[in-house]
Amino acid sequence: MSKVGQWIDKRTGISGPVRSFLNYPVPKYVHNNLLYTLGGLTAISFGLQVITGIMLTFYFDPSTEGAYNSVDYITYTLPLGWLVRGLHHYGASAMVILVALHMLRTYFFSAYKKPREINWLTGVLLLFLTLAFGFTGYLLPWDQKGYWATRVGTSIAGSVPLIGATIANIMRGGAELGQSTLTRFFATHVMLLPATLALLIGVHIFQLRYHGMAPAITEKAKAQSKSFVPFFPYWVVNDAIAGLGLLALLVYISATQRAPLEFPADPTSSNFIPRPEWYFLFYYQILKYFPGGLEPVATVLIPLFIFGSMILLPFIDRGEERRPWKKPVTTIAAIFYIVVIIIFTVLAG
Amino acid sequence: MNFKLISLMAAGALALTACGAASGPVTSPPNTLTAVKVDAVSTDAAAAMWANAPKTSVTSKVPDKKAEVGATVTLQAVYDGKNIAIRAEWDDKTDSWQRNIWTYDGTAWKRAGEQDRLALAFPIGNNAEFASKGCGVICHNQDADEAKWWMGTDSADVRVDFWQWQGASTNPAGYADDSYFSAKATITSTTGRANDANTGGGPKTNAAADGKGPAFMNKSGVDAHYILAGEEVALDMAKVKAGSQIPSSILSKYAGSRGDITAKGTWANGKWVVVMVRALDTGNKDDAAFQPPKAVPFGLGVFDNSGDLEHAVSQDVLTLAWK
Repeated sequence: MSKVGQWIDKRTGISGPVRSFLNYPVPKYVHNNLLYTLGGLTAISFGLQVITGIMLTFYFDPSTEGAYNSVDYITYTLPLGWLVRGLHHYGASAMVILVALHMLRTYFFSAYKKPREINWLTGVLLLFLTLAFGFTGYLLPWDQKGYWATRVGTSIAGSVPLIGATIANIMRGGAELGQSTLTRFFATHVMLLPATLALLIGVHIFQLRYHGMAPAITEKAKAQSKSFVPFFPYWVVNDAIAGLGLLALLVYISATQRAPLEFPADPTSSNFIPRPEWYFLFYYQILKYFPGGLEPVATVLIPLFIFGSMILLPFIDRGEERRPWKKPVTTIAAIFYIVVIIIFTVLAG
Repeated sequence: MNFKLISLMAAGALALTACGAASGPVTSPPNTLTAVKVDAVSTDAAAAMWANAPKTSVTSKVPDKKAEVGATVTLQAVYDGKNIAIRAEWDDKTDSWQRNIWTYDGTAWKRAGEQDRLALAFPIGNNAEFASKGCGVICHNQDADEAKWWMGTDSADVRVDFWQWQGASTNPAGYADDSYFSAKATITSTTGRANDANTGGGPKTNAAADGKGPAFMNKSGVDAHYILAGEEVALDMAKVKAGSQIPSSILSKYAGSRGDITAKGTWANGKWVVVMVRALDTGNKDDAAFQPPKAVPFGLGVFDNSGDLEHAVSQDVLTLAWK
């Protein structure tokens, strides 16, 4: 260790925890399976969102008069602004996909089972926080798509029996969408959500390290479960390569398909058909099947059921069996949900 | 493991490249004019550059008589690094070249006649209302009572670039008139339209000192369809007979911002084909600047042998997109 390093270590004691973190033994079956990079990739994509988000904040004007023009300036005038916004825009979708895939991997490998319930619960919360990022970020450009999607979104919240009006008012900062809404969404998007998400990621990783990786489910993997490699450099290199691949993919998409910016929001417009971001399309479609008095089924019962079943999963499925092909109920249930989401997304598209 | 990861990513990149390379003919969504990138634009309506530019048909209606339908204009657009060219084609039984033309009846001169025109409107900067409601927000409201008509925007900050190709007044000189809409003086005033700045050029009235007839004729003779600056010679009444016609303006293209749009229109077989070319960004504050790939809303008006009031306009918001 250099003299500077020694000086810092004597005063902070940081070298011990860092060594411990880097030398953490990773089972070979984990290191040899691509699916285990999904968690690291999700964390990398969050880091990318933070970095690009901070860069965007330097130029973003969170006012109803200035938001659109500032995003327009970032996208079409600011040198490399298109790239930063593109990475942020498409990175958000990538993060949703990665969180979902990471959860599916966890689900099918039964990694939510005792004693890893807390890790699963933080994962569920992280999924919903990621979606909340998408919802709050959608409004910020103050374009037609974001404005009307948010108007629909807050109306859905408003349709919840008894407390709906209060929730909608809190979200909007008043009866209508306006400056208060934009301010609230901006503050939530750039302060409340990142802080909460970072905290939960910390808890999530701590839990992972505390319990170790979930047991292997295949015979081949089990054979490798007694062999280990250190987290650094082996897994770090894996994640770094995967992260660079993700970055390259996002740069490619940003360069070939400029991040969309619809025309500026016109609250008096009567012909704009609101549409949510692609990852909310399935829910948007479900809402169509529950008009009028049935609306609370879609706005309250279905979300509660989905959220509740995800929360309760590790407390319901407590058996020892971890192999998905030996657990037809949970496997078929997951496939059913995936198919339903895909079908409804396609129908809404 | 790393080999697997790299292989997977390489396969993904190859798939993406293949998707990107598989480019078919460009198509446009409804009401969207997609400008296609070419090496260089020109005013040649028959040039090869139009081959890959998708066609967008825009139906037009008379604003205060909604049931009355105007021409259907077929648009195409191409652009290079500096300029955009927009090609418009529509059916029109007459070429209406005799705008305000002097006609000799054997004893005296009389002036009469209108012309065909094509107008395009683009907001200067971002304009939410224009983008969602179309060019109707700056003029030609729907009221049948013309006294209630207005023209212009509600604020000096909100401006709209207005290109007007005129079959008789600007086409022979090879340009389209460049003007803009800005704040109207009162809610019902029609004062919100102004011409772009110019440093010379433009049409000059061809009238004798007493205003009762033309002062000049085209050096090629009477009955020429137009007189360009430099072609005028003093009127020779010996060559005039009853029914002779002489244009009432001597035409030249404006210098300065008002003459930013080069244009060439040809009428043949009951059809106008017009190409307008302008710099993507003129640098003039009275012009809309195009920044591909930023989509721009626009509106269209088509005039059939008419003055300022009688014309048909696009009813939906049109979008200029880029490929």
